[in-house]
Amino acid sequence: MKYLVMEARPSYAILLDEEGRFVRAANLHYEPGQTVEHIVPMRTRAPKGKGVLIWLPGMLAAACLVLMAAVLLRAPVTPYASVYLTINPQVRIDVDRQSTAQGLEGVNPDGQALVEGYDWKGKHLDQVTDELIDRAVAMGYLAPGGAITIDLEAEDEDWVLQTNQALQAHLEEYLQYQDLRVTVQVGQSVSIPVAPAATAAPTAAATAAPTAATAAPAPAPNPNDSGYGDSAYGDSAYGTAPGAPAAPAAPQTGDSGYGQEGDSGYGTASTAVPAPAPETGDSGYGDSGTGTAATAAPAPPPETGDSGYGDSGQAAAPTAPPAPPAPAPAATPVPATPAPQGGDSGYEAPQQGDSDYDQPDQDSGYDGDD
Amino acid sequence: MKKTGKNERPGPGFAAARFVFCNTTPGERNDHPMQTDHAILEQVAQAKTSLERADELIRQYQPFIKAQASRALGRLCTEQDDAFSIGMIAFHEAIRGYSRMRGSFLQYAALVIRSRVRDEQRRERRHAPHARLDQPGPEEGQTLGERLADPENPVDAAEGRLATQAEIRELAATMAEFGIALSDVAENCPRQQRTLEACRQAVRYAREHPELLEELLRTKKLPLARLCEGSGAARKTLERHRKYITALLLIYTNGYEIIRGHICQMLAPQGGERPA
Repeated sequence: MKYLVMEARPSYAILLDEEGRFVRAANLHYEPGQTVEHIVPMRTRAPKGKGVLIWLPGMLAAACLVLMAAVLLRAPVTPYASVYLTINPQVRIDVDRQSTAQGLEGVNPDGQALVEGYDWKGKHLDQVTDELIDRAVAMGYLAPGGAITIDLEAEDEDWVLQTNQALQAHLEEYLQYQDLRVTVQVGQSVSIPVAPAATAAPTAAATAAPTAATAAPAPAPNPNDSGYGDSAYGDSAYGTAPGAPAAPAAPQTGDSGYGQEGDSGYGTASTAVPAPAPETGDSGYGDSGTGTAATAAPAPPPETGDSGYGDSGQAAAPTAPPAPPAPAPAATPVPATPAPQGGDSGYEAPQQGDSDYDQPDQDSGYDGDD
Repeated sequence: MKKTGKNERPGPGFAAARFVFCNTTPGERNDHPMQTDHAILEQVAQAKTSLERADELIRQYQPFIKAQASRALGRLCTEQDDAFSIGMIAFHEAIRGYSRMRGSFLQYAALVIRSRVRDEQRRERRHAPHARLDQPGPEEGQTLGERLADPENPVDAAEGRLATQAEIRELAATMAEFGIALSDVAENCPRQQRTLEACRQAVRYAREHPELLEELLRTKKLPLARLCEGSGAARKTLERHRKYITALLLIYTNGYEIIRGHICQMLAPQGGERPA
């Protein structure tokens, strides 16, 4: 393969290959107009671990599949409250009393672009905001230094106060976790600078837990799916038969993200299916990662308080219910320990995902040699 | 070039990095006092999205890059060495790929630089016996490849390059009218084969319908709707790679014969035959 040197900058060069690709490569003393054969292309590397952007295409693909099923099976419910998420694009998330998304709409054109194709059904508010933020980053609407504003609108003041706090804490943690330097303003009062406070995590998790816990015992419709329900990080691309999440969808008890019904990306899809019913309380990081979905299933009933960081990642395996085997409302211990790994599952393996964007880990395919 | 020899010790990568880092030229030392890793993070974050900042950062860390490349090479690396250029692109990679989960930025960058330089060294060794055509040839202003291409008329080969240069300059100028820079295009270029193919469809379609190219030149905007309809490619894909597609369409307007000749393989139908 021959490359035409289009531009030779001090620290790199831009080359054009014979198939029309523009490639960034080391500037080995090139001159524009030169044709070269041996190049040292710039490789794209993913930020370690939290390669969110890798997941997006997979998530979107699966989201489309899941969307069909979810749409058919979900019964419409009057929104209990609305949450406006504004970066530049503005979207409105309608939620029910448990802060599960009931509707999502782009308020301005950018907002519409942001939500197009995004599956929000049955997901918890935390998860929806996280995912929308990720999308915004991927689509270029949000960059470090940006700002996110959240406005809550509801008749129930208690809900507003509670959600205000919980969402704030959650986002604070999530943004830090994503290493995204943006400011967040929830309601109109507090703004959250994203600081690298290690202490933030446990407290945020702790606050998240109780809210989840309170939600948990709530009735079937999605009890406590906190945060990382099942989306991107799990299920999607890697194999959950579209049917799988749909089937239990009816009870769809808050099974979120990692695990139950085999959804988490890493297999065990169908085996988990029967599980969901009891899994009411299991949220977020049920036991995702590789396998174990099914085995975890029976445990959940006691897990009602389980919030967020169930036991994600691949390690969890059979001891699924979060580290403390005492399935009991792991609410407290859970966030503390697994919290850091919490997000792990989503991000680990799937670095095979490829996207069109530089950031993700995809090898650009150029080995340099012809 | 300031010698960094005195402070450079073979030792754990991180420690070496710090030492070198201190040893900037006197002028620089005032402007860029030794930064803690914390201060760098801010710069790295900005460099992730701004090419100028990235270049600036790289310039600032040249001694560091040279030191790491030297370590990987096992001998002193100068600015003339390819390893230095490789080190610089590796630094770009490190800027892109860095997240705080990885720990110290400099440590990470050092790793990336060294591993890249070593990889290329190994690759080079495999092909060692062959001379590289890009090397300077017997006459100045000319590469070996150019000389070999036309030994009778070495001047022609070099002239060919100059002509190409002129075309490229013109392309860049035209692209500027569209608000696009070459670096944007490189950034925007699809990585996946199937996305690339979708973009190709759009380009093929435009070629077959020159009025679209005319419209492009006239309105300075991409006729996305029609490209989408005509080529069958997904609208989102085309939108996402707008800059790349624009650049390619421009290449297929008048005046860029050489460049077009170069990407002859781009629109070749599956069978591999050249399009008429």
